[in-house]
Amino acid sequence: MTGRTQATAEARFMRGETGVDGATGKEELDPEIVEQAKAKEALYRGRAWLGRECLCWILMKSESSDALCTVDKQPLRVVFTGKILLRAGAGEVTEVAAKGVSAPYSGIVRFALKRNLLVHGAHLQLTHGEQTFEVTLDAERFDFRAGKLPALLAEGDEGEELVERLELVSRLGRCVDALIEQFIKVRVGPTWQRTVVPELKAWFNEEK
Amino acid sequence: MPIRKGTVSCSRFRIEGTVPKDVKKWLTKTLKQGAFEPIDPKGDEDRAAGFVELEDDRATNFSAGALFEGMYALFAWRVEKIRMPASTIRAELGEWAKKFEEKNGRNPGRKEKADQKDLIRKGLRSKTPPVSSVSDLSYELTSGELLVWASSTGIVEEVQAVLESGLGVRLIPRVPASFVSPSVLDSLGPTPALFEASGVKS
Repeated sequence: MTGRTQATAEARFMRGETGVDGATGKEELDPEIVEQAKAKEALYRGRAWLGRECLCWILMKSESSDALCTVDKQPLRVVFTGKILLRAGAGEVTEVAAKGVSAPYSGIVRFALKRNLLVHGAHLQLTHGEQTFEVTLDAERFDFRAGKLPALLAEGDEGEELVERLELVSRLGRCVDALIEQFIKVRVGPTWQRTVVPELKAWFNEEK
Repeated sequence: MPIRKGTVSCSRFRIEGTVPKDVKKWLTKTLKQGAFEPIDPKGDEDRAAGFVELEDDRATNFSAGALFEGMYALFAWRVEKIRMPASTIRAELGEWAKKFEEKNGRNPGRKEKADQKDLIRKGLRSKTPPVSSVSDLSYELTSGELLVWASSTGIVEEVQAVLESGLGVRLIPRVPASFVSPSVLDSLGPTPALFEASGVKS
């Protein structure tokens, strides 16, 4: 060992970076443990578990063509369409993504739901009265992503166009809020554990 | 501009706290306090951020005509950054180290290298133009809902913190948890039957 290499090794030892045998002492973390820890952290971050329960409930309710609620005295219908992302807080598989127009209602997605992978992200089509909106939501932040609005009536007038667009975004917000409110009413009520959870589990188990 | 056209991507907040009657004064004061100031070319900062007018990302007057459109207050958050490519700094430092060795017959020390790196950074900084990005914001006066039209979580959180401290209110994200009272929320946890495999036990 040259003088310089020896000095470097000694300095690293003095800083506590290496042991007497020159090894770093840092154990390689098991990738599975790392992945499980990340999945669990993501489940609790921002109370994503509540958002996942909410999206699962809306998914089950949306299978029927009935309106889920009324917003501004107009019925609100919801359909999940396109890509859906499911996540678990632990287990062999922590994430599953399914793509296809009716993928959210498919047997594969229900198979995953049955195995405790809940909806973490989904693309929703909301029909409010006669107008249709689309938006992608995620369970942690419920931010609007890739949102599509109905055609504007004030096209051409820049100022009016902007206000109309903002009003439509605001309406989309009221629709999403109404869905969350419906879910929360059920979630904190006495029927959640007794009726709704068994209903959800039965829906996950339905053969498609 | 995403607020004007294209698909909608935004984070939604509800304002919690007292909103004064004179909303214009309240908002303008905060926006002016946090107004954007460009990076000082002679300074050391590599990043600057602040509020600008929606229509002109160099204007920070926030006159009523520029700030309000119908029942909405519209403004933007501008971020300016100087990004110096690490590979360029590394290459220039390597070249200097080679010359240093030829001249002095030894490798440069750690401090000499750090000093030279600082010099290279300063030299490059004056030659690198800043890159700026603008995220729109809209505040609906009637409902008190604030939208941050940005996809980056970092930007959303930065704007949230600046507005909360400037306006003296809390910005509550529109997530399911915010629809439950804090006392009820504390008593809630993941439903065991739905999260069995996630280690959640009844």
